[in-house]
Amino acid sequence: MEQGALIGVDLGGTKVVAGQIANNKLVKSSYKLIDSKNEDPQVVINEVISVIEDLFNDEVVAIGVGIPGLVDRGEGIVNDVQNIPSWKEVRLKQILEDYFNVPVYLDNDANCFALGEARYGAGREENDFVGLTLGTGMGGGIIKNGFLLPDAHCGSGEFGNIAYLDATYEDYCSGKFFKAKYGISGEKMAALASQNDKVALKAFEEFGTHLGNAITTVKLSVDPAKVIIGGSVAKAAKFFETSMWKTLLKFPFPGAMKNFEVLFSTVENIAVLGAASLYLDKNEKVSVEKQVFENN
Amino acid sequence: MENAVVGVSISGKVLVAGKVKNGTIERSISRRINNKASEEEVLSEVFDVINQVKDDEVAGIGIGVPSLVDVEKGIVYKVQNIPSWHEVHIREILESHFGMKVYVNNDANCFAIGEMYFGKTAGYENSVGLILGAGVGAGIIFKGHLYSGTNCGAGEFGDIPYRDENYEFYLNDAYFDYKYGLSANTLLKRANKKDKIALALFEQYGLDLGNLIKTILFSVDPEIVVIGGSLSKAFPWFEKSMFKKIATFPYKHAVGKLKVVASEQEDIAVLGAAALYFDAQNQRLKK
Repeated sequence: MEQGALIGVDLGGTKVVAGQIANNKLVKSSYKLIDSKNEDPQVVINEVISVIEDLFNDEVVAIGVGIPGLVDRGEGIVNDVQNIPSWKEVRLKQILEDYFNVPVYLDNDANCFALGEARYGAGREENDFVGLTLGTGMGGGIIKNGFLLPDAHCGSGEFGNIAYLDATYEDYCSGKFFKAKYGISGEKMAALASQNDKVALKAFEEFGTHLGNAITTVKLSVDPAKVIIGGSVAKAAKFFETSMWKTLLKFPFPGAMKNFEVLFSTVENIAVLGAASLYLDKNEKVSVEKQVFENN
Repeated sequence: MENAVVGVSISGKVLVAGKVKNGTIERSISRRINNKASEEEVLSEVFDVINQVKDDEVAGIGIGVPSLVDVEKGIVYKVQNIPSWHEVHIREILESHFGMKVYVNNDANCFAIGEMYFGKTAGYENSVGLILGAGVGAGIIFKGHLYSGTNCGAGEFGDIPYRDENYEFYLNDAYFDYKYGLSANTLLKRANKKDKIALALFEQYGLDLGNLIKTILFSVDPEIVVIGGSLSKAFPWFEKSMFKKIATFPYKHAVGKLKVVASEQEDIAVLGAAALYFDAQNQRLKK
């Protein structure tokens, strides 16, 4: 990357992680725990500035931030963040640009995950896919022609919120499922499954069925060539993959499943990498559009 | 000046073709066909209606079909109500016959792009056209262009599981007949006379539709949804409960700006098929 280094920031509900990328590699990273329930919105803003400050130097040409909520991309305003209640219409782009004096890009965190997979992960060879993050919650991002889908409010791909059974897909396809039904975390359940615990293996089998239904809904909605799954739950893939596919093969249009693939994320800090590449997503897309337009 | 295009809607038992120029249908023809006829016989009916409306100004042809479509190759599969059309390479056949560009897509995608060029979603970058009729399907527009998905299967929201069935089960126009022995048309007439039962049934319909629209918002996040198909005429009777359900969407900012409207374009099937040509001409961002 001749144009210099990029900083990517992944803002979560309990911590904020940042990384600096140079020559397509993560060269350094940092994180801060955040006080997300503080009533003063400036507290979390200062924590974001401070984690970027740890990594910032003259090489940095742009900053990208993944937000666990909806963002007005054009204006750079954070609108709805469920985990940080004090943030109402925070003009984060302006605030960070004023402070660091480089261009700043904001997007939804699950979109950053998908973009990270598109540029640095399992999606490098694929132009059209959906990235799903399954951890404490369930989010998603849609990649079309190698770029993030230009939706209205950064809100596309939020498949976890769609109604399913008595609740939503997120309640059945994230760590919430194991907590609610078995009273333990997904990590503990995976540890038990590794020891061939029958209850744990059964729990993951059920989980795979629900996830198969969620992916069916994704396929019916936006018809991607692949789905790439990340987040902590992805590490337990071998325990739920079989029942997931059993459900997927009941898809109402069987032909559409012929070349369909579900892949699992293997790259660490992929959302940070994705946030950093928001700059590339935006600027390369403009140049592709310009080029095609001029050729016509 | 804008090119003239022939739009053709193949809806099973009725064929409609029209010459579209400057946003209006200059002339059109509709014809009942024998939908049980052979592949070739139905094709010759298609040739015939195109010939009836086509003239020297016409630069291309757009075809809308209720089926799975391979948009890139121009193949239609398992066309609803035309059993002999199992796999028809319709673009290749029509292009070699007429010597001009032919575009094919499913009826829901035609509706969505037609509304953008000639209807309620003009001026919006991101929209969804949702058909509520014999089936429930949608077309998705991003940045002013059709988004078709890998197998042209995007927008099949009707097949998403809902309650004990799927959305299509509760929202297609035969549901009222199946469940209550009353046709959607009869109910609409009764609702227009403020019949309480009809109004209550449409109120419930609005709640189910509101849930479907929330699902669409979570999936593709449009600025506007335009509703077409036979049930769009009942819009005034389900609008209120639909918006009540949509208002429970957790992202207030996104839902605050959302518009949901009913199509008012009677000829949208032909206009939408013709719009496939304009969409292809304006498709700047190539793969």
